[in-house]
Amino acid sequence: MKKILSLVLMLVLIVAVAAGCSSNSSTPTDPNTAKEFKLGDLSDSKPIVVNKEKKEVQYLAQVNGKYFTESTRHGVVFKDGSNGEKAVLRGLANQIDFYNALIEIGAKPGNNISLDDMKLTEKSVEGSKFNVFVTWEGLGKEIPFSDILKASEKRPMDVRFGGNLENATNLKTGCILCLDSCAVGITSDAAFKANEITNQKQVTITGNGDILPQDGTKLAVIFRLAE
Amino acid sequence: MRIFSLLYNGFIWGLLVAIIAFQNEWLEMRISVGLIIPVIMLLVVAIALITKKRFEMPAGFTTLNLLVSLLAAFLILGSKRLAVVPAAMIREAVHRPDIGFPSINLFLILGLIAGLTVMWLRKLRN
Repeated sequence: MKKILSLVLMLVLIVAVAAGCSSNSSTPTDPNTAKEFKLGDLSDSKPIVVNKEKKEVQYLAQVNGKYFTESTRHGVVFKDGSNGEKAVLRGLANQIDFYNALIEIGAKPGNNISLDDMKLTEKSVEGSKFNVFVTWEGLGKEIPFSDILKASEKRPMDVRFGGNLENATNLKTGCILCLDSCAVGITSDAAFKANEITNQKQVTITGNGDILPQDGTKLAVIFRLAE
Repeated sequence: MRIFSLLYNGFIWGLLVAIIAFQNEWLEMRISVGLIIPVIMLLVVAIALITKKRFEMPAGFTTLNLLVSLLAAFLILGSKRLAVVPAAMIREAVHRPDIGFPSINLFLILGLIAGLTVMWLRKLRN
């Protein structure tokens, strides 16, 4: 009986570990995990690309399928930040490098929202305006960032360079793009006031599973300075 | 086997408590709620070891516990979220965002079945 028990356990363990390992190695046709991933100028070793002529910053991120069904106020967060697993897209470059990249293309930070403002839901983030797009392998085009979100209340996105370098450095949340005005995110959506989504609980935003590719897919987020 | 059944049942309760905690968006945004699972498991074992009365969690109780907890999880999350939330919590807790939800779910299901199988085989043997 002991032998049968041991055999059963061993078989189950082998199957379970094999299943886990197979998810890491990915399917042969999945380009995201074979060798170094590349998407245009972006790659695993170069997750941020600055184009001064086009005044745009390309940023490599990865879909977090958890937020197809769960709501969040985080659009893109660096994976090693404390909020790394709390966003629709998991960022692959840190928030400091992202901030510097935006400065490099001539964007001006707003720095107008304080941590105390996050309790009041009164101010909207200021700073240079960006038009934000996403694209991924096989899509063949850029689509607006708002298309990959499902919001219970539609408002046109107004992404601003909030700045917040000091808060971003000290708090280490990793926030790249917040879905409402924020005192920590490098960029955030001025269409919603400071921390409005959390404070007022009237609007919920999830990732759009009908548009986004599957969980774990890498994609490019393009921040283009609006004229 | 007593410790094993305590850990097994503790895991089930831990997962259910984590699912309930997950419903609080404020909490979910601030901590890795999956870490509640090992805390509950250790708590169950600690309480069992500390209490003077030796209490057992036999196979029948464990099976019922699993079924009731599964039903509760289904009622809280619904089928669509049930396929995502436990796996998301576990992969966040173990810092492995590279593992897909289907793999974690398979590991979870196989592990739960295997644990229950072991307990029933042991019971039949005794």
